[in-house]
Amino acid sequence: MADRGDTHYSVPSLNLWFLVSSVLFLGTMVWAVVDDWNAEWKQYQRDFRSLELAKAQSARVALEAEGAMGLRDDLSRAVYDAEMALASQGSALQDAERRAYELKEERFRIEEDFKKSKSLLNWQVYGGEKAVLEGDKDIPQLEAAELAAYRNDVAAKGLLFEEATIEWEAEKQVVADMRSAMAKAEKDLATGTKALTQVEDRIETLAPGDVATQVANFVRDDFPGLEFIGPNLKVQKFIPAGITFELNFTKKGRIDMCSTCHMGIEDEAFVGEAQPQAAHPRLDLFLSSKSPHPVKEFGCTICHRGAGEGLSFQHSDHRPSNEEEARIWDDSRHWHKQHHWDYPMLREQDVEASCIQCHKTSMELIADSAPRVTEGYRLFEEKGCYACHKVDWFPTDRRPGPSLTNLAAKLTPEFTNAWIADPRGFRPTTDMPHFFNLENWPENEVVVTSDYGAGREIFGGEWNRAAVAAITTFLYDRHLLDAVDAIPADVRAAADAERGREVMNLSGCFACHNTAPFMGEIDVLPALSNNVTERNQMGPNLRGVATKLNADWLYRWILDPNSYWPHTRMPDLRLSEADAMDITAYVFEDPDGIFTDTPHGWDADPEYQSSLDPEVLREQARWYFQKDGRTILESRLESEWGETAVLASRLGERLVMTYGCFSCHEISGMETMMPIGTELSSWGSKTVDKLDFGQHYLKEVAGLPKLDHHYREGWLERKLLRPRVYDVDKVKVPKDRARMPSFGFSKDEAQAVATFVLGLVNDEVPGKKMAPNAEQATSDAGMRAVRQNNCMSCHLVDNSLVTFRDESGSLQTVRGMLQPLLDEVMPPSMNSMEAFAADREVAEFNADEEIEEVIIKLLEAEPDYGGPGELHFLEVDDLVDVTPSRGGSFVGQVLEYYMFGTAVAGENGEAVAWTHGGVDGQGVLQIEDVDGQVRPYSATELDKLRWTFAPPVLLNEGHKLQPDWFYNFLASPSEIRKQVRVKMPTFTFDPGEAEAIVGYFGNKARWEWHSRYARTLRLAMGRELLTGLSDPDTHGWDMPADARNWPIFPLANITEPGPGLSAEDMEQRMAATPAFILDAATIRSIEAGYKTDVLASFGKLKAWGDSEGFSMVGPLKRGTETSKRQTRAYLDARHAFLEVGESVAVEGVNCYQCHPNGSTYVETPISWAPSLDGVATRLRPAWVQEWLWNPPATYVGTAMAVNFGSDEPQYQAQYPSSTNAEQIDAVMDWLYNKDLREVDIQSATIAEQAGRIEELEAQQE
Amino acid sequence: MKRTFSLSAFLGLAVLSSIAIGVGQDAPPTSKGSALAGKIAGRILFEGEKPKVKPLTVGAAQSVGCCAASENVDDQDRSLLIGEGLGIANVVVSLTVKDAKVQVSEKPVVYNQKSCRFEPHVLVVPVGTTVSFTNSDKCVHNVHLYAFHNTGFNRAVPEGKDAKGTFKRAEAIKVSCDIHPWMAGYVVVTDATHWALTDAKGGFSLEGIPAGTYELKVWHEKLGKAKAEVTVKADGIAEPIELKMAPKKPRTRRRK
Repeated sequence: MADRGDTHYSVPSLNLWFLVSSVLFLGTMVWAVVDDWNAEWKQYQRDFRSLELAKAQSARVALEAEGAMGLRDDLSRAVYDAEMALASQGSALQDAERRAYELKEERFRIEEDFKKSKSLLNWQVYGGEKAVLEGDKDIPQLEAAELAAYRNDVAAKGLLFEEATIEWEAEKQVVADMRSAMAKAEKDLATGTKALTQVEDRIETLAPGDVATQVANFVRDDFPGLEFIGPNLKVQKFIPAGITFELNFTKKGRIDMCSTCHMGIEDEAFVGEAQPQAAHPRLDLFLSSKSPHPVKEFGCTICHRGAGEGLSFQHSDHRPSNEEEARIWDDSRHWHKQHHWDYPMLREQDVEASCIQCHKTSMELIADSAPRVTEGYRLFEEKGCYACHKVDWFPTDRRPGPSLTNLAAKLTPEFTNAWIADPRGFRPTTDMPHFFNLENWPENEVVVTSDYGAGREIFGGEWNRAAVAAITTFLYDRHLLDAVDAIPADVRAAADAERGREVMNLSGCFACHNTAPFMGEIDVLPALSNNVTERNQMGPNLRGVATKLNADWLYRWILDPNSYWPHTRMPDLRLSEADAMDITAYVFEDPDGIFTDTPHGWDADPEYQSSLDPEVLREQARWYFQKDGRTILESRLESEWGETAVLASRLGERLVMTYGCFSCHEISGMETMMPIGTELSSWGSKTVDKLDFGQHYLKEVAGLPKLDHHYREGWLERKLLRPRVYDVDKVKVPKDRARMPSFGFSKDEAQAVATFVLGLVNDEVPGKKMAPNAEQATSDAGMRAVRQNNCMSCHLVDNSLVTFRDESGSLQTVRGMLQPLLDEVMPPSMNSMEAFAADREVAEFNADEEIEEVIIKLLEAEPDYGGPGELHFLEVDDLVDVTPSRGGSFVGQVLEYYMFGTAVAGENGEAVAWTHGGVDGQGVLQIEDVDGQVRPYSATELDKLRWTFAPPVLLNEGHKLQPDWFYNFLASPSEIRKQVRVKMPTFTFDPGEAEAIVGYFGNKARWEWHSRYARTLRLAMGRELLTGLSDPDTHGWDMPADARNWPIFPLANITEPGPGLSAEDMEQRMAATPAFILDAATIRSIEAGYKTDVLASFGKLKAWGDSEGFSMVGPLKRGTETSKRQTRAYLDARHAFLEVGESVAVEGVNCYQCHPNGSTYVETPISWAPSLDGVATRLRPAWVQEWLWNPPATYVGTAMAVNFGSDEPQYQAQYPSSTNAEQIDAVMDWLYNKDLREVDIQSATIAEQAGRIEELEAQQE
Repeated sequence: MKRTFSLSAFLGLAVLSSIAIGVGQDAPPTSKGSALAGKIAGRILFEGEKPKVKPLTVGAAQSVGCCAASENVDDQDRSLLIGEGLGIANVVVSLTVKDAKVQVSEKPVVYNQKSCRFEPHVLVVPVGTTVSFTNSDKCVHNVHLYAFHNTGFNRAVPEGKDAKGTFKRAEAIKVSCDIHPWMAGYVVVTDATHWALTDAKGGFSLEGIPAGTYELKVWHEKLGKAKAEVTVKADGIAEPIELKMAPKKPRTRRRK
């Protein structure tokens, strides 16, 4: 079209523009199509598909190798044979089928007829009733006879129908019978080839064989511009209900598309693959539908953060875990930091931070699965961070530092001053942080020019020294007590330092304290208490204490810690005055050079008051009292604060308030002040722009990486390691300088605390905010109380583990311990493989022999290896790992003292082993017993020493103790085993702590019962029961034929130890009954105590166990159980048995030879057993019954003998023609009523009432 | 000629050993060698001054039923018996002859508890033996085994009854009774082929040992282990052994 000249535009140029824009538009479209076709995630999905295909193909190869093809051929042939067999019967089957069909049709006809006559009858009846009701004359009223005819008709037709049905069913059965062989063969084929069929189907889907599907798939997946029509490659997403995040002041639901690229994330088959195809770690805990965190409910970003809707590596805001990874990502994926997304993904090492948002009130429960954030949480508590920085949910509120109310009675001002200035200078391991002489007050830099710029210059060092001295002055100005009561003269006169060493080593002091040498120093005489264990760092290291304390204070403190510091975690050991005095004498006489040892360079500054330079003090007062106004302040400085001591005290008070000392320490007059730190309840939601990165964030500082102002982790880490670093090179007046003290964190510790703080976010997880249920809450509180009171230093709660390689080369772990190596008497260390290797070297050196084999003593039922107390032999090279028992590290220390004493100086100053009692004539160490006698103890009886003189194990303790008794015992411990010199202390529990401890042990036992049952069952089923009971020479005493009906299967002490049924054999045996089908993996999973499988499948296992005649008491019920043995009705019926029981126990078994009879003890403490008084209130009957049947099955190595349970029942003189079970029954009757024999009537009534109340409660539920 | 000789020697030995088994009903089965029976004899002596051994502490209440009313419990401490010329009794001396077979008793070997003492004080049995711990007293005992290489047990054994244990690994197992804490004995399970227990004068003799050089192993419950090399010459004679054992020093802690 030509340009007519009447337009404002030129058509040719318009055409040109049109052309250009069309081309551009087309280009853009092509670009868009290609770009979409070539999207990053599509490539990942294609990769994933080939990986999946490869896996399926190799699975098929594996199946073929197993002979799956042959099996299929065989099974197919069986089907074919069955078909042929059927065909060989000629037309019989067709005839039968035809007959069945005809009969069916006939039956249908009769049924219709039957229905019709029923409706007719109904109609007549209805009509009659309606007529009567409404008086409707139109409807004919039937005579009774006519109605009866209808009825008869219905009945007759019904009969016909029944007959037809029976006939049809019979014919059907004929057909089914004829086809049954065929049907079975077909079913066998389907089940036998299930795995193969699945794999082949998968391969067919992924790589179809036929060309048409291949073409279709190509178009769907790979044809640019058409692939959107019916794509196989799709964006995957999780939309967890109710989980939101904050976006520009609104709450937005989370949509997580992560699995678009991470396609194998939920699939176990992809464990260990490269990213992005890899499966998530710990699928038992995360993502899978069986786990507690199914991905459909939680999504991804609630834990990982980042941009869930991002569909590329960059846009989803991936985070490298370190600089190295960042570099690699930059090179390989052009990764760079996101600038405009407030929720960067958490680094891999910080992901555990997210656990906190739901697990605030169950932090103890997740400790094993989330070690890093747990470490941070515990450091936050241990270092007392919570005392200054509020965290709204934090469960601990005791002041972490000692009370300073009566400081003057304990410490000298000289010590206190030096301590405040440099706590780690005296005790490198202290939790008290450094407040002074840090980098924002450099020693030689001018802080201010005094007198409003007119006076002399004051340097950082002077300023700090004066401040410390001022605080000391204030603390000693405000105290209530100058000195504690002096030690009575007669007590002091009888002091025995040598005995004090033994008292200190055996009473339990070193369960919480140690005396390890200062870092880098080595003791000439390595005292037993120098060993540092996981748990003896609860209290302070006691090295050097004699230089800071006075003897009177220490004596009083040992006798009653609470009178000096009411909230101390130090419990009351109820020591005698003599014991306390001897300890005090040992500490102050210090024969071993431990308690007067101080670190190199430490000096309790005797001249500290010279630091109180009035000019510096006045200048500080000018800054810290600035608000009072210059005029008032100056006049005050001239008059009432004119005296240096007064000025120092007033300034000291202000500094204490400034630095918040009262947050950790109780100081008179400051009890109610609010903590001074920033609240951290939602620090993890703080955005980076709110942080001051200081002047030097681009520099590397003392080994710390450059700070990245996009992220908060580095800021936190640097703050924790160098709390004043952000002040450096800033102009800040003294008052405004940072006050956070330095805790001397290691890098790992700082990172752990940082992870914890990152998790303190204000995001809510509505609906799923895991409020733990009552049981979990109790367990959590109980576990915390157990940890905070350091119960597990003395008490073992879980057995140690040994991991080894079995014959097939796979790793196995059993609950067990290693037996002593070669000629040693102590078992090797189970702390780590390094410690084991060291012990191995020593043993080989001592015996001059190479170790080839190690022996594992099993501590519980391990169905693949044997029962408790049995041994498993192993080549030493197959030992892979050892895990120490949970708790009980102090037990080793007690035993070591009994066997080796502790090192002290010999005549020539060399280290020799010694104890207070010395050695007997044959070189055996002698220990003082509780009766004051000194006796030798032999290492051969290590087991017995352990069970007699060490603190008791708390394995399955909830099953053993009656909760009421347990609670009362915790509140006020009573003596159970008099011979134990380690004292169960009296703790000052916070409200609820004791209940929680009781509840925790109950829950633990209740839960663990399932695993115990499953393991014991499998072991029991594999063992041959003996039948030839009458011939004493054919067998040992063990395994009577009724053994499985005993309350606990007699696992230990059998003449033929060894494994039980394999899980696979058990699966087969169970499969014999259709109701009990369980696969081997599930059986193992129940044995491991995996919650989901226990809940889902334990019932089946138990039912099968019952059907096999296996019996084990449990599970434990909640709350207090009343023993039926104490009810009146029971006693009325069984009264006579109390005497029989007593006679069996006292004359037959001879209980009182070891157990004290009232207050009468037998000769030697090593034979003493717990008192039988109070068994009725202390122990659960179910536990006692198990225990009496077979003590070493409960506690491996116990000194309690197997008294009942032989194939030929004993004690017939006391209880004629009785069985083992009857004897135990009678003994228990006696045990549960022996204390009440005279007054049992009344008690029985109370017990009965309790029983009725329980019944009523049960009914209400 | 040579062949005939060795065959006849073998036959002779076989006869001898069958007699030995027949006789050794009470004593533990002694071991047999192959051709050319040699003999090793010697003594184990105590080094140093003879220590004074205190009698055992026998609790009056605990010893009820141990013996007849007129008798007292024997309170001699047998853990270190030093006789004439400082010879030590109850020392186990053993050696291993390659390829020699050990006959294990099919019937359980009896380890008795009588008058609240273990009888014998030390019982030596070969690996694989079943030991029957019997109680000939009128009171209950409990047999407490401190085994490390075998599965131990702790069983009550009322009067006239027994408890059996089969031991498959070599070790010296301490046996005690917790009801009568002074009672202690040892069952020494040995994997050696020849062994002997020293008599009251510390003397022992091992017979039926072919010519060769052997490592003689010595064990005593209090004094520990010792070793010596011994050679049996071609004529079947070995130099008499005299070995001294000293009391052990108190152990020091071995861990740092």
